[in-house]
Amino acid sequence: MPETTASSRKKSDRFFRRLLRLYPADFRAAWGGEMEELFTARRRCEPIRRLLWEVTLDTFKTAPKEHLAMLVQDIKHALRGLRNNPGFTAVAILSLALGIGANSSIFSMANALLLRPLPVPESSHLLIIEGTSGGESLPQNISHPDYLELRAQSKSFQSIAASSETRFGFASRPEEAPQLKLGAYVSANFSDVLGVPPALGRGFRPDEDEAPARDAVAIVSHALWTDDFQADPSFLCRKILLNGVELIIVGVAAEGFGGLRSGVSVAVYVPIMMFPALAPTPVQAIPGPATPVPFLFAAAFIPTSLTPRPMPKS
Amino acid sequence: MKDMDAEAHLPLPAPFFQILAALAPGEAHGYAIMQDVEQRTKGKLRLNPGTLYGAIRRMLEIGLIEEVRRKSGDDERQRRYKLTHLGIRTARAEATRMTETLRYARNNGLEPQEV
Repeated sequence: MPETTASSRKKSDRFFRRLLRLYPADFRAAWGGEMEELFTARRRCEPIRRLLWEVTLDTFKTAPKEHLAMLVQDIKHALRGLRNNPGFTAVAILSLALGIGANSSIFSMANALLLRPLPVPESSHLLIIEGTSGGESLPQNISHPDYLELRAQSKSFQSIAASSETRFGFASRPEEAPQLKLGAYVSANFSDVLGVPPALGRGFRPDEDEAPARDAVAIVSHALWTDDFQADPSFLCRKILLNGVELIIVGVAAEGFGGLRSGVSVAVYVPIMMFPALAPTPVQAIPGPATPVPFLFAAAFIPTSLTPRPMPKS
Repeated sequence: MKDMDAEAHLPLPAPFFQILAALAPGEAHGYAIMQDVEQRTKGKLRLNPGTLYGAIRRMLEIGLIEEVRRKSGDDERQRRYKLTHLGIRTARAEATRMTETLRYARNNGLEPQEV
């Protein structure tokens, strides 16, 4: 019989008990006691080092198999239970389907609106400026005079552009019934600031954003160009009607670009100065000292080294 | 039909066949099975605790062996096992399979060494 001290016997028994913990609890409960007895019996008549080496290898070989066997057994048991209770199964599947469906819908929405960056180059340098008013927690739009002031005085931002979304009655021909399309009044530098040059034609020139209602030009989205005009390459200089006013197409926006808000696709862009001509009712127009365009989002392109300063209250 | 049940489990893993062989003379507990296998194979097959009780669990599950009811005075920690009818048929079918394999080997000049 190999010579072993009481302390080494205790240590080896403790080691084996620890090894047993690698087996599933059910397996341990059923066989752990017998396995321990078998180990103790062998420990009495075999060299301890060789025995410990053998049982360690054996445990690492067999414990994963037992876990897998228990998993298979649990799955079979669960499937049997589900088969025997069709009502419960239907409710469980329906609950799971609704839960998964609701969660994935919410995630898709959050992803589109909050998580996914705008499809513009260097979107991490882009900042949306919004105003605050009278302790309101919700962000407020900025007036056009404030936008002009901000653009003239700001030193932190490389450049600032403006965009105000609205709905236009769009028709490609005068005899056609107008369809509601999402549009935006944008500053002339809009595509330059965002770094998204038009796919076809040109962006707005600075002079097209100077005189109210003078330059009836428009840029359409890539989606509108492909869907409604079959990506006609001779599409530029065609006339369209917005709220019954004729405008000339000067460009097609970059593919996939839909404006400043994620999950929203603007179909037509017009210069801010076209607001007096296109505003459908005078209600929208709030008188201001510079131009009558009242509601704007502003986008700024900032160098990474700068932290944006708080926006002055409008 | 019964033989088909037995043949469904062939070829048996080595520990299964050795456990069935160890239980052929009569019921035995885990330690006795381990000793029997070790002596019979001259130490070539050593059933360590995980392999032995993993095999016993699986064999109980598929009905090759069954637990013997404890008598009063038996050690509660030591369960004894015995062959079932399916276990006997399966062990025979496996022995037949091995004999045929051996015959085929002999016929092809693969004579086993004397043990």
